[in-house]
Amino acid sequence: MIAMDYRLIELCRAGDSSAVEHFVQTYQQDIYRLALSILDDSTEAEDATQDSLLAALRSLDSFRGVSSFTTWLYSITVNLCRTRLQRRKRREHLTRILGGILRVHGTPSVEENAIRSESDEALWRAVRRLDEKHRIPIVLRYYHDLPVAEIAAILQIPEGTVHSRLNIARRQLQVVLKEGRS
Amino acid sequence: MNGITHKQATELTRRRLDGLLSEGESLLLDEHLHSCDSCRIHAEEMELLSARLQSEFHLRWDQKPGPSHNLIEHVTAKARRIPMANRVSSSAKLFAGIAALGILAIALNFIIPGIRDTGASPTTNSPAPAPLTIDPQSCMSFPDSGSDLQPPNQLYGYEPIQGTSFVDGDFSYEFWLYCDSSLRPDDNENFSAIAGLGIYASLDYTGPTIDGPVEYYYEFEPNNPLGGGSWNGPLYNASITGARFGIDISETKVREYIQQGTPVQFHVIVDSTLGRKGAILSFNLEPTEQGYKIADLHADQLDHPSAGLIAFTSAIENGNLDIYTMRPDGNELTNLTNNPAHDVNPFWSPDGRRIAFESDRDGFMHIYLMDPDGSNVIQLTEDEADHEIGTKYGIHSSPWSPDGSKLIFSQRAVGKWILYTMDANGENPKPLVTEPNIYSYPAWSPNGQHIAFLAGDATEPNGPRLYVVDADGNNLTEVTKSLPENERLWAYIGYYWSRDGQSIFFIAYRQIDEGQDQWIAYEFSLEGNTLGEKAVSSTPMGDWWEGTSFITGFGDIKSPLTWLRSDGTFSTLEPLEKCQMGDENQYGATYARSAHGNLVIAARCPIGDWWLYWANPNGTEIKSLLDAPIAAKGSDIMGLIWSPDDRYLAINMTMDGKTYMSILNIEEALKDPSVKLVQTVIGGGSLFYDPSWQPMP
Repeated sequence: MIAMDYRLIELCRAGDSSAVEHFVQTYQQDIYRLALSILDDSTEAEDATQDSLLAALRSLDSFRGVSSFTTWLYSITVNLCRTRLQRRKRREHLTRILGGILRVHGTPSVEENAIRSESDEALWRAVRRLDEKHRIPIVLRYYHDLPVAEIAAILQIPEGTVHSRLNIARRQLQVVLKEGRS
Repeated sequence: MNGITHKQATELTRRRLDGLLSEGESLLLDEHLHSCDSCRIHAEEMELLSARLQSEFHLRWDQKPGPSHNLIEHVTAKARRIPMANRVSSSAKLFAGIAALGILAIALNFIIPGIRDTGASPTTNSPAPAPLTIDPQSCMSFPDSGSDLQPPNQLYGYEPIQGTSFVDGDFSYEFWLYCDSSLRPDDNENFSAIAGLGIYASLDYTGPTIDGPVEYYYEFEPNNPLGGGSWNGPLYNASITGARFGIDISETKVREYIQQGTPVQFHVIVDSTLGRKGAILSFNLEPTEQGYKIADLHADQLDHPSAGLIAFTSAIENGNLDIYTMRPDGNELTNLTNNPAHDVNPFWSPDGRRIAFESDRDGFMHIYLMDPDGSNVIQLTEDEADHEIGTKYGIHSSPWSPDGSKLIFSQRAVGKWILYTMDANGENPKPLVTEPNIYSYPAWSPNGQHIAFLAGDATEPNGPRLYVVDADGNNLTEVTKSLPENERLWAYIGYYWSRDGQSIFFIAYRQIDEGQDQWIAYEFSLEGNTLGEKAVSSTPMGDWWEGTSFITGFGDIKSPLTWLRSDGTFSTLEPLEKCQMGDENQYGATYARSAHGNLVIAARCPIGDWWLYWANPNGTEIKSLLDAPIAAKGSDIMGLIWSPDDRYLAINMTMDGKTYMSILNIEEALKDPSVKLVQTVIGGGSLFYDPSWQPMP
């Protein structure tokens, strides 16, 4: 993670466009990777990155320095991604209903499929089957390599809850993978 | 082995995975793992899983390109419009800010061009894409739109592009795309992803008055309404509404649609007691020299929504009872409760947003509510006694009041039960009866004003009695008291509320002489508590549904099922037509009627296999549902549960000491009898909790 230059925060608060540009440049990759890992859709991740950076810029005043700046920014991103997931769930629901009318998109590309081995697919399917409550901590822990305390701060839940959600998720993944083998 | 138990070792292994072990704990764990093979294997498996997850995630996402080149431009352009109320207020801060601005501006001048020059970031120098704009040549002057349809008055002052309409029975929908230069992607108040383009939509209802409540709304994205209205009163023969909207979807999405040739879609939805009606407007955007023009504009019928999730009680994991949800196709299986206690008997609220369930997590069986993802659990009952949602014996219809504001529940009292209602937040519990008894099959009237239920069981001399009571607990009336002395209630599940909630239909058995007995369909009217005879049969009736007697016979092998209609016509089903003959005593049939009156019948052949049949409410259409039996010999069907939209059926069955829940897509099966059931094991032995289907808005 990158430490935020507090002067840069002040400048962004003051509406300085160079500072804003620098801010976006500094964080866009991290935020985009975070959004991509939660949404698994590059278009949506791009939109979520844009929304998150704008939301952060809008609410810089509410950043009090209690958590690290990145934790705060991650927290905003995770919340926005969750909203998108909920909307997506509703949308997918109707997309299924309208299957005959709508052209469904979002299927994986050929290259994407080509790089995936059989066992990866099973694991990935199992991860996708986790509910959001358990999937997000797993992604934060194993993709973003964040400590439990940091995940707790981002998700605004106690550390014990993060630990127990990780355990439940791992158990579910283990069960699914074992079933897949048998 | 050292001083820690296997259980502690498991927990320490988990904590290690999460980086939560102290050095001392780590040593203890290592020692234990050294001497315990199974613990070590478990730890290694978990480590392996962690490593696989890391590698899978990196493989999956690291290769994807980063954010697009335009992100910086988009954010900085939009950031300019952020109200600068955030500016530092105190003079000291201002001074510091200005000083820092100076320093940073100089620094940035060095940094940013440097980055641009090295090309390390592809985020600059690429021009922002031109905004999506409607080609002005598409816009025509009002009212001469050049279309067969005349633009509505609501578009006066705008420039219509093209219109279309769609008629579905008594509902008609009209759509217009029009030009409005005030609609822009950078204007939050007058937002449109395509500059200058707006949609006008109207709907008219021209049929006979139907009962309320009525709700209508418009949306681009499913379940994300832009506007609409609702009211409790009836829907009259009149125009309902017309409204104008910008293209309220993200620009990125619209660009994606254009790139993929996917049409932009807009929905109008009307929910009333007739069910869901609606239309979809679709159009494509084709590039021109001056923007985009509209192509392939057309309106079509909105398909009705399918059942949502199914919630059910299962002991899939560790034999512990938890509540799960899944999609009707078997996907997205989720454990909602994850609690070592018994969490059972889920019931979706009518709006599909809450689930009531029972749990003994606090010692007694209490009633709880949770969100569809298992969060926000609230305990509704507090008394130190066991509680049941609805009643313990038999579920006839939802224990939720039709408006979702109240729940029927039972509280154990001296070995029997007292029936109550309470508000959906657990407040205002009101007893509906005074005497503890066995209560069963409660059913709210469709208007939510009354509740009917059965009291007593088959051990009583005349069997269960049918009661009706006001929702507030007043006016408890025994319906069966109006019957002549030689008559009593027949088929317990065979009673139904009329659609207006003013009367109850039920079947009574009239004992005369052997061979002369009769079964009578009655209508009990709440106004005056009067009883009216609707039909009489010399063989048992299952129920009487809107003029048709459903005659089930004596349940023996010789009795076909018969639908006898009030005009004297009838249809029959020989459920044994597909059976191989065997021990004739094994024959049996069970059935369930949906909220819309359709029937599904499961018939067990003499050799023990089960076949499914479907019939419309009056039996004029009867079909075999599948070309294979749904269960083999030795199985038993415990419950047939229709989804609220009649598209799916959940079947609870036991076979070889296990309980299964199977889901059948009825709509598909009616078209293609070779479709397969989605089958899930939900426990060992018999599990007596029916699943609950999520009603969709």
